[in-house]
Amino acid sequence: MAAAHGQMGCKLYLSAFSGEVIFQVNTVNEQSYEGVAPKHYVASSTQPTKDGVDGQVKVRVLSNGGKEARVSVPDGQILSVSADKVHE
Amino acid sequence: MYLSDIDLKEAVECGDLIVSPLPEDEIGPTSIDLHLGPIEEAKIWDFKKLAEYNRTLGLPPKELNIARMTYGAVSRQYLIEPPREANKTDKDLVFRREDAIILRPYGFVLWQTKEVAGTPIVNPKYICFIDGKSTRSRTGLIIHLTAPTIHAGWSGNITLEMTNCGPLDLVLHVGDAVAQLTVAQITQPPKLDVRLYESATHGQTSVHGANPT
Repeated sequence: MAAAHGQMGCKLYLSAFSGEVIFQVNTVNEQSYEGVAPKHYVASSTQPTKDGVDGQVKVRVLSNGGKEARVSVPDGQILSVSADKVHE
Repeated sequence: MYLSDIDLKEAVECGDLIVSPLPEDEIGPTSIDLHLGPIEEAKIWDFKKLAEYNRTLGLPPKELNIARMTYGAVSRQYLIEPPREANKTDKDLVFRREDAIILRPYGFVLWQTKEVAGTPIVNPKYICFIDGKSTRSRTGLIIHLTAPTIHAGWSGNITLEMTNCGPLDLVLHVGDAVAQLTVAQITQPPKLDVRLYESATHGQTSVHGANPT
């Protein structure tokens, strides 16, 4: 069965390229992960800045145990994050 | 099975293949030409700044743990615009002259395509590959270093990793057709279709570090 699409809360930063955005999220082991996504994979109420704004990035939800979710982000990484960041 | 020009056009019309804007006149028998994007999308690594950062961590200044770094974090801090010709030094292997980038021998530049290319997130039917164009290659230009795959379900401006293996200074203009896209059918939509499981690249785009978890 295919994994569900979802959105994950994250911080969005300006990328070096205009068509891309850097997303940052803290994983369950409290490490910070920063990845790259084309602009149409992210959403925010204001444009990403150098200092970062709150936003969402599209993910595939591989599993969601209620407390912890495992997601695939647009750059291909698999991350374990707090489930309350993820909305299917 | 690779798509012919007829199938490429049909796939774009159906929305199963994304190439935007579509260069209608530059669809070859089995590929679509891709072009260099705006000059602001050409970037180089600020290796000097990266070396200084390494020093602050007590690391060898010229080393980069490529499988352990997080590309997003590194690129945000160390990708910069190439210097203008008036400001360049003899050490600069990449520099900008108006709307062109001069790529000297062994120079390395990242430059995004004008076109957004790839396949839709939901039920993708194709996988795409980026390649150089043969006549450009014969000058020593490498257009895409070892990461040609655009996985099913991903789309965006393609980051070209370009280097000059020839003896001459290569002049690359905005809008030059330097790459081509070939497209193949996949057996069925992948189970993971934002990007494939453990397919971290990038470059690409990707260009991506190890899973920190």
